[in-house]
Amino acid sequence: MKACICRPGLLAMVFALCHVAPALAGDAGVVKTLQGKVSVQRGNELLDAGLGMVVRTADRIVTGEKSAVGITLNDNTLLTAGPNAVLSLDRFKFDPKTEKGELEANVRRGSLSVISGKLAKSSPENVQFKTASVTLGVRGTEFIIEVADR
Amino acid sequence: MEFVSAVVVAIAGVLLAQQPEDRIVLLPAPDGSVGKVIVQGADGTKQLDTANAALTVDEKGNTRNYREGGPAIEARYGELLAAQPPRPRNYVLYFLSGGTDLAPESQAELEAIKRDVVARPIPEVRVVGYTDTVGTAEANDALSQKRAESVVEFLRNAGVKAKTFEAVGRGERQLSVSTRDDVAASENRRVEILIR
Repeated sequence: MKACICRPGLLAMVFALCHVAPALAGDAGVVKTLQGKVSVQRGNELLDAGLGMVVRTADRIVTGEKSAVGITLNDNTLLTAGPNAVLSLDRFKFDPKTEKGELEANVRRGSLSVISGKLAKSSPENVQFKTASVTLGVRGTEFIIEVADR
Repeated sequence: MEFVSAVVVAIAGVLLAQQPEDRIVLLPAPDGSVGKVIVQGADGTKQLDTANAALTVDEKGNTRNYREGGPAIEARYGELLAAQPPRPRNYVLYFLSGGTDLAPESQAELEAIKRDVVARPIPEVRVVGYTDTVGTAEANDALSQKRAESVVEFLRNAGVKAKTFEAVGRGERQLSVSTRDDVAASENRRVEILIR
């Protein structure tokens, strides 16, 4: 059963008219902080990231110099990418009713700070962070992955 | 001959030391508690489970444990950590039996919710309804979903403005107080509001 999400209508004043609509499948989180230049590769598109942008599964987040982006995922995981980073959110599913799902993120370049959310508590076997050389399992915690420039 | 081989080893050592390494650092939560990170590299599996425990990964995937110092973490990762989104926060509201009148003791909590939402640039609100074990699991799923939706209405009418409101009914899952099936318990009949 889908949770109901209330989103501002397109033509409405931002908060005045809010209709209840189901969350879109594939939605993974929201951009909450942003500095400098941040882009999202989604399929064949390269989108400019902005505060409040919805991040989706399979998105690749790319930050420029002197840039950073903080994303809150739907299970309350907080992901923060630093400058010159490439982060791909390869898999994300979260059912708020059962609190089960999966998360796989790959740090291809740069630094990522993670504050884990409900998935690492309820489905830790389905949560993985990867770099080109290691795979990380997580049990409810905060950590940083820094991938060197090669 | 020995001198030459010693120099070769020293140069190799210097070159290797300059190869860039990846790092993984485990941080404590604000309350000091620490979880666990299990790292699988080329040379096997290692675990980080104390505050500031860290390891480096060379370009072959070999890992080496060390401990990062607090000041070093701040120097190296201070800006990254300052860019983190605000931490999600959970609130609990109680309602008078049967309806959507807020219990008097929850008034202060409602005011705290409003202040929290206003303080976040992109606030999202998830209202989660829970029941006790009286009735079937399915009926409680539906009941808690309806209750969550009516509390979303209540919050909006009370002046809470957010980017999204979400209503979730979790029924008998995650009982606040453990009971057997079909036991009435007011502590389990609750609504939790997550602000993130």
